[in-house]
Amino acid sequence: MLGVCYRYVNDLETAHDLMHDGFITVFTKIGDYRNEGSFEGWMRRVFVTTALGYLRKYKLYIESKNNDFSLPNMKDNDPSVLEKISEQELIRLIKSLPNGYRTILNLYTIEGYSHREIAEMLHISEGTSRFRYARAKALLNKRLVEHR
Amino acid sequence: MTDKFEDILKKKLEDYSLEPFKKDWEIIERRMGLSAKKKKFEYFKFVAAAIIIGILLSGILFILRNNDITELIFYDQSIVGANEENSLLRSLMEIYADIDLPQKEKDRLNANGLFFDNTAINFYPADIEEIGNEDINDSIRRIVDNLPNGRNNPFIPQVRQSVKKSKYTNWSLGLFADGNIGGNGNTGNISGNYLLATRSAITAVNMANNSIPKVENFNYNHKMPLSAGLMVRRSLNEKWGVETGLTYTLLVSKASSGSNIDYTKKQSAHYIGVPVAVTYTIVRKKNLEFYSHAGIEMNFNVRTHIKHDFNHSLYVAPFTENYNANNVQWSAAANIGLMYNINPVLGIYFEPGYSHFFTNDKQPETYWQEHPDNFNMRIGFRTNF
Repeated sequence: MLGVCYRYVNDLETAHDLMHDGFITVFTKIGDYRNEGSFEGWMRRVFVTTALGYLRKYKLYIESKNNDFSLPNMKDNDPSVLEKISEQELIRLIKSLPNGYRTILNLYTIEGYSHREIAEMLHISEGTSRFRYARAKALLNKRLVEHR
Repeated sequence: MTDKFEDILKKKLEDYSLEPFKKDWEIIERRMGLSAKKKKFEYFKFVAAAIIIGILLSGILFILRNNDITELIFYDQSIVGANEENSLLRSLMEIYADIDLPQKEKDRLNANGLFFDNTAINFYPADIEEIGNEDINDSIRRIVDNLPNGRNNPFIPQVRQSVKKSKYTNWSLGLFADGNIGGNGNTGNISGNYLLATRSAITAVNMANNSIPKVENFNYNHKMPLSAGLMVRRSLNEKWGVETGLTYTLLVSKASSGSNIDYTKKQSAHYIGVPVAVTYTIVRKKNLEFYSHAGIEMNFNVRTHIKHDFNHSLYVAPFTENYNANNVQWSAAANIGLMYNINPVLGIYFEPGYSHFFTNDKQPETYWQEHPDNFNMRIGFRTNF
C-alpha cells in the first residue's frame, strides 16, 4: 500500500503519511466493507481515495500554466523500451510527470477507472481527463525515448 | 500508443511495492490510540458542558422561584370593619392568586391561616406575608385608593422597610463585550517563511511539494482582540463578592510578504477563557454602583486557523491549516467598574481594566504575545437575582 501511495505523490515522506492515514481509515471504517468485491480491492480504493484527498486538498492535480512542452510523434512509440526498463526506473520516470498527468495515468492505467469516474473524482470534465491522459502517455513516451 | 503499451505499464506498476518501515506501524498504533482518547475527551467535554449548563439553569430557576416573594406587607385588622376587611382581603387574594407559590409554601400559609377564608378572623396575624414585586404593591395601592373616602389611610398595607433586603443582591449574571483600548497592534517584520501560529518552519510536506513560495520576510499586524462572555457573580456581603464565567476571544493577525511574491497569511486564533475574580464594591448610591475586581484567567486555545493565500504561477492554489496549542495561556487582570441600574433587575456596566498575559512560547503568535500588558474596556449588561 506504500507503493500505491508513492505512485501518487512526489516524495516518500508524504507517501508514508498517506499510508498512515489510509490504514487508520481502513481500521476505523472496516465495518463499511460489505463483501462486495475483494477486500484487497476495497483497501486499495481506500488508499487511492486518501491520496486523491491529499492531492485535492492542496490542489496538486491542477497544473501550472507552463506545460507548453513539445511532444514526440506517438506513432514512433516502441513498447519494447517499456518492457526492458526496470520498475524502479519506470517509477522514477512517472514521478517526473506533472502531478495532474501522473494522477490520471495512475487512475486510468493502473486502477482501471474510466474517464467518467476520474472526472467525477477530480472534479474535472471527462474531456480534460482524456486530454491529460493522452498527454501523460505522450510525455512518458518522450521520457522513455530519452532514457533509451 | 498501443494497448500493449498500457498492458505492460499496468503490469509493471501494479506489482510495484515498497516495504513500510517498522516505525510506520508504531505511528499508526499511536495515532489510533490518540484518536480514541480524543473521542473520549470530546465526549467528556460535552458531558461536562451539559452538567455546568444544567447546574447554572437549575440555580437560576431555583433563585427565580424563591424570589417571587421579596417584600413584606402588614395589615392591621384592628382598624377595619369586618365587611371592609373582607372586601379588601378579597381583592388582595386576587393579587395573591397571581403569585405562583410552590404547594409547600401554600400549605405553610394555609396552616397559619394566612390565605383568605371568610370564616377566618385572624387573617393577618402578627406573622408576615411576603408578596411579589412592585406591580403588586401598586395594585394594593390602587385597591386602597378605591376604598370609601376618608377611609384610605388606615387601610394602607404597609411595606415593612425594616426587613426589606438591602440593595445588594446575592447573585448576578452579566453578558459583556470587550475590546482593547489601544486598538490594533503595531506593524512589525518577521524573517523567514513562518507560520504565525507555530513559529516553526512550514511543514516539510508543503516545502517538498513546492506548494508554497519561499518568502524571506513578512510584514505582520496583530488586530485588536475582541471578547464576549457570560459572568456570574456571587455577593458574599455588602462589599465583597466572587465572580467567574466563560469568555470567548478572537485574535486575528495578518502577514504579507515584503517581496514581489503576493503572499498573505491570515491567522484567526480562538480562545475560551475561564476567569476567577474577587470583587469589592467601593460605593453604592441610588442606581449607581462603583466597584473594582481583580483575578486571573485561564485561556484555552481551542482552534487556530491559518489561511495562506498567494498568487504565483509556479505554486499550487492557496490552502489553510489548523493548529491548537495544548497548554494554557494564563493572565491576570484588574478592573474598575461603574454600573447603572436601569431597574431593580437590570443594569448596564462599564469596566475599564488592565490585563497582563504571561509569556508562553507554546501559544500562537498573537496580540497577547506582542502586548503582554494592555488596557481594555468591557461593556455589558448585568441582571440581578
